Amino acid sequence: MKVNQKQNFLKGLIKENPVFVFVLGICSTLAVTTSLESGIGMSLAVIFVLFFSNVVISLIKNIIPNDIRIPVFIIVITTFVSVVELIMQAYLPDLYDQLGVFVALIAVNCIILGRAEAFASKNNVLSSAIDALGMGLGYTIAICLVSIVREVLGTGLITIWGNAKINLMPIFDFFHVKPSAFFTSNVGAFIVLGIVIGIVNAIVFAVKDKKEKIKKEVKANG
Amino acid sequence: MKKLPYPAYLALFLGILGIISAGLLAGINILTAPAIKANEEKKLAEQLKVIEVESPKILEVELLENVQNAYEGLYSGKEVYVFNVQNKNQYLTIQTLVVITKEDGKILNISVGLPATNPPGIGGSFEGVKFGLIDATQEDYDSKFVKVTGATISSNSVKACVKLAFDQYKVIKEA
Repeated sequence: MKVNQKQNFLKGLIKENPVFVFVLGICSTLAVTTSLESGIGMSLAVIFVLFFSNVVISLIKNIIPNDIRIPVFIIVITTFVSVVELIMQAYLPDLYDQLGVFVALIAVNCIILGRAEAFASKNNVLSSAIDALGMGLGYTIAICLVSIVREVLGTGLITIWGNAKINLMPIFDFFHVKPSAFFTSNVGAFIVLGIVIGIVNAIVFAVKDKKEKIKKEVKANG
Repeated sequence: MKKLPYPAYLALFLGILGIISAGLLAGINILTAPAIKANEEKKLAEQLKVIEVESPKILEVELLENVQNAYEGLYSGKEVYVFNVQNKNQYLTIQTLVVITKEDGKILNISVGLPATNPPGIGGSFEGVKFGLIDATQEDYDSKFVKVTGATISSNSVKACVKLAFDQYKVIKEA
């Protein structure tokens, strides 16, 4: 199958964003978005696993017996999850503690198994690698957006990494309001994610409509 | 050469893939093990600092299963043993530091740690809990151990850790 690599990369960002459009990988999106730092950490781990599992599956796709393709995908994915878990435990222990059990749960993230089944097992290595990067970046955009909204509304801060923080409390003080811990709670996570998905899709549809309108006008004018 | 039956071929394929995967993980494990061990030691040293055990020294003794380390040191001017005990069940892992006096085997402090791999929320009621039964013997613990309301699983895990710490204490005393 011939694939336009630019489109292949860009589709994961908005058009086929795994979180906003397919609503996949929601478990980790809800769980680790209490701060931008943990969102970035989780995204990097997911990109690592997605990239290597897509590449390996694409490499061996012709020798995988069709009857056991899902167990094979699972073995490949869990191997890379264990690799990322060990590396994180060794070199980023604070982040590992923060993400907790959700690092191991990357193994059951539907985005990864979904891309393995829907894309990597049918396309060449280069396309699969680019697809993984695009989808991984799409996941990163989604998780960071939700993290920023939750952290700002919940704590008045944005924790970029370690002690690198942006304090937005003066803005809250200006409007005489206080951040609410509700937004960092589980219920807050569902509500924020729902609203963010709604807004993003509304913008995407509005842009699409506008483009179609322009196309029709151009056609009508000859 | 005779062709393999299809199910055997599938099993062989999965087996080979499993071996390659295990090999890769073994390699990464060898590379990361020293750093992981250093992190764990650092964490433990911080925990010992928090429970205010002065000049802790690792004891070279035979350790019971699930007793990770044993230390000796000073706590509130008394000579103590500190046992780092882990209890795992199907729900969670609890790591407990139990401070027991060398002389009469009484508990002076218990500190509960929750590894990051636990499901979120479980065991949380035990973080930072102050235990009422300080200066207690093993018998006191067996009869009066106070459970944290709504945390039956973690209470039982902590109880099991304390029992194991007492068992380790006996082993050291008998030696």
